[in-house]
Amino acid sequence: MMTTRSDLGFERLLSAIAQDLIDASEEEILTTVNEFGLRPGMKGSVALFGVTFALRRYIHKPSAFRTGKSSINVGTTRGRRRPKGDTPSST
Amino acid sequence: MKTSIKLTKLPVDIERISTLPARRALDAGLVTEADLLRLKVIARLYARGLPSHISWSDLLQEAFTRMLEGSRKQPAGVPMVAFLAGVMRSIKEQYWRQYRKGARQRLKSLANIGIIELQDEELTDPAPSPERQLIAIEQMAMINGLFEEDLPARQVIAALYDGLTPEETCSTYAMSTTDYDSTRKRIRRAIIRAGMRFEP
Repeated sequence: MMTTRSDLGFERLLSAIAQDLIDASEEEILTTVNEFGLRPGMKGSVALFGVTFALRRYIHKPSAFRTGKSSINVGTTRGRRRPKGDTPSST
Repeated sequence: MKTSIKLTKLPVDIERISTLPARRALDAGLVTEADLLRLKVIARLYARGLPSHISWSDLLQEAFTRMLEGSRKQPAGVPMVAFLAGVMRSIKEQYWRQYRKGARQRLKSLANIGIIELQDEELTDPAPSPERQLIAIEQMAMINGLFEEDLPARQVIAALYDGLTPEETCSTYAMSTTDYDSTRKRIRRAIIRAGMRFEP
């Protein structure tokens, strides 16, 4: 009986599924997303929430993978203090 | 005294730092929206192997950041989606390496001040952290839960977990190649649907 270490087996599974996702046709991805009720091409669609837009508090929080002052500010580090009354930029 | 300042054009730099890296890549024509949908699902999949305080969006945006800033370069002949999926995977492995390094340093510090006794082999033990193993066990249960009514899917998942080839899987579970392929497709679609669920 084969006993697979849990983390190794899990990573193997994730890699296999990820490769399937990479290889899947664009049509299959879009069809499945549409079946779920999302319309990625429509204005205001939440399909790309977290990808191209997010809640403001998530845009300006420090990246979980970057710490310290050496982080390059490319949109995932803490934002500048906003003057009172300044309207936020669109997300 | 109230002053009114109209900004008819945002400075380019302010626009840049408040825009998510994936958005910048899309605007630069480096990826399409379909690519981003695919990458979102992959990010949510890979993030299952990370602690819950790290979001899939962090993982995805960090991959784009490294690509945009040039610290990771797309190799010739490798499509962008495959490249960024690889970057996400390596970010994840890097996280766990640093986590283990931090854990060992903490053990050494505790040993140095006499709180614990440390054997040399504890510092060189290649086994993954208990947290990583626990996350793997929990997430396997959740993934299997997506296919409660689908025994062939759970069989294929178990086979992928154990590293079996498609031929070995078909032989082990008396499954035809056609059934195996359609089961993989069902698994893929369920993962896509799971990856599209709204998360605030």
